[in-house]
Amino acid sequence: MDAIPSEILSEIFKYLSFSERQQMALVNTKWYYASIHPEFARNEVFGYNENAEKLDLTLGDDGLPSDLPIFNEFKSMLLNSKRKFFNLTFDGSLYVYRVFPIFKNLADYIVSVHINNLARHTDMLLDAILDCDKLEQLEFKGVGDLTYGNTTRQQILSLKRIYFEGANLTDFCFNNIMRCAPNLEELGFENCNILIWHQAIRRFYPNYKDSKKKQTFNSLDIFSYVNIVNYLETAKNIKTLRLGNNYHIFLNLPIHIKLVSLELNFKNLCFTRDYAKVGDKLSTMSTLEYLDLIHFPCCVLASCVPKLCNLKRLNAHYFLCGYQDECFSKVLNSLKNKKNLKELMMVSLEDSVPLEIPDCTLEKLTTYIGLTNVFKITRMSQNLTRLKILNGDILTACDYKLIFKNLIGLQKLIIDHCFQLDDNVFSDLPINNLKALNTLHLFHTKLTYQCFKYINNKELRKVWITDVSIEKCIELNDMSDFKNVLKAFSGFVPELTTLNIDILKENRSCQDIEVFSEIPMLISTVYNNFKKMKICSIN
Amino acid sequence: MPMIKLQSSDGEVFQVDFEIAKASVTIKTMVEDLGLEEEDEEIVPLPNVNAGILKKVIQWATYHKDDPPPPEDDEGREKRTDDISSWDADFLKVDQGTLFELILAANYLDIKGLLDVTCKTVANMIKGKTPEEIRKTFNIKNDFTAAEEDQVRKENEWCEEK
Repeated sequence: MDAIPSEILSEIFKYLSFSERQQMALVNTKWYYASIHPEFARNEVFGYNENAEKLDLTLGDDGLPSDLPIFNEFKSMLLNSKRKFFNLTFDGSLYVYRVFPIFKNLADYIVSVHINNLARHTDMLLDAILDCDKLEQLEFKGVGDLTYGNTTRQQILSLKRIYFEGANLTDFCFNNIMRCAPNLEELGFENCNILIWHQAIRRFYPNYKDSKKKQTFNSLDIFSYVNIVNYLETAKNIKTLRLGNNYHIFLNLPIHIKLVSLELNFKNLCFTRDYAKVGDKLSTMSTLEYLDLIHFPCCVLASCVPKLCNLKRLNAHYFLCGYQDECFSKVLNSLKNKKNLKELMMVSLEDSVPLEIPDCTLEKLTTYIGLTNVFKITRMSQNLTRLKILNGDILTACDYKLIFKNLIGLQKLIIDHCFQLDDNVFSDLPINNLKALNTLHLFHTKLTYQCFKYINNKELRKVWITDVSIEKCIELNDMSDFKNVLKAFSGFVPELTTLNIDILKENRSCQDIEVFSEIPMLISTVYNNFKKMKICSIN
Repeated sequence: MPMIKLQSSDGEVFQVDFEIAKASVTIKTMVEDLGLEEEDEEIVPLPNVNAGILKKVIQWATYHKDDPPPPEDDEGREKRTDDISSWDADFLKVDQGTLFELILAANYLDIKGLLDVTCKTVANMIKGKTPEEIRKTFNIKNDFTAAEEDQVRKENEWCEEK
């Protein structure tokens, strides 16, 4: 073992789970280094949340707490670490004055920073963050007023992704931040109050529609879509845009931008006349590989999806437009030619009939979410790893069998409205065929607590079953059988970390049914018997 | 069928079908770089692999000569370890020392299939063990100072998977 270098040890660690790897870090120095190999460290996050501090912090004269014990611990842990990659998240505002040593000392190693719920001093914090010249990702969520002055500073060539959510920006501040990231590839906005009304914009930028006069966009008062479009005119490397409901930016997208990935969400905002424009514009974007369209009429899909041959992901949350039969036949028939498709998510925002999936095989397809006919989906791809069926109500015993017999690569299986799934059907299923299954969610079932006797997939981490009947326990006024079933269950699925059971109560409360008061006892049984349990809820 | 001669670190020469030896990217590249021809008497030296191990590697490569190329690593996080074929499992019923030498050889010779299956085997030996049990199993010394060990524990506490 002494001869095995840390690099090869890391190769071995690729076969371990995160928690197993953490254990191995404690073996000795070499094993520790193997466990923080970039491939692992890149997917690991260190997060500080000020809510973890005690509430009775003593405040100094400046109204700030004189001490933040948990933050101090967080800081010293980071500063003493031998890691070469850090993803950091900060939640709150109190720590801001104390954060600088972290960015100063780890400037060469910090690759991503997420700032959440920051109420003040954004300028100061940004200054510190933008000194990290290996930074790749920057994200703001719930940042009241984001301000950033006109300091001249070095550009961060590695900065590839910036995302704003619930952040109040101005054109001036946005432009200053963008200037630091000349190689930006991914930009996203969500709920950022971007101004789209021309009359309002014109008050600040009188010349912006006049091709003869030059307009500088630098307002300290508004954050306007025209400024973002203007920025995109000069952005060379943008490949991914997550625009939320800011479709005006999309409609005015400069033609030199060849998007690989796009997310648009039309919730609460769209003029009907613009749907067609969005559909037309989308159909010209042949480079698109990842497309998330939320809250669109299905006719938008029909106009663009057949033209997008390179799609690897199609995630559509649609509503019906009145011509849905025609729309879906266009969209679904075009799937036959999408040999690269990996993820297909077709979610109707209203009740709807299952989609008529065409007879075709898509070998690369690993994810399917939607209303479906099980027979067709098992034929379309045997390689599914994630399957979520929204219309479980039409699934018969045969359909359940088909899933468990054919889709043996499944890692995640979620079925909604399992109205026909009872203990009889369930006990007949070859459940442990799915060797790699790590998540199993079954909603609205007709199962009883006995169903846990049949689940014995060694890799299972998360189980959530709703409408579980415990009538037998209620009759006997005794939970011990349920308790024993759960104990035995802990032997079948040793890796389980999350267990949610929603008991079928039919509006009866603890007052009506005595045994309901024993539920806390069941929960502690679970924690005592499952070694790796993190979250258990039985309601 | 063209043959190739491989010389182990302790001087033993093995004559191997080139189609089989090609499983090793290292050998394949060496042969291409040296421009070896079919009739050449040239011997490819492998100074990092001894005869016993080289013999085992050739045995493995011979059995797996018709395997499809191993799939590219996908971005999936944790990989499976329960898919070792029964032949491989038998083949790898060796003492720890040999197993680690096979890993080093597979790494040096760049044989992905062999590296994968040997790493999986070690991963299975590791899974479910505490650090102390690991140290016992592999005869490893704990070289942490108390402060260093405490630091690793703290990192574990704060660290989360993305």
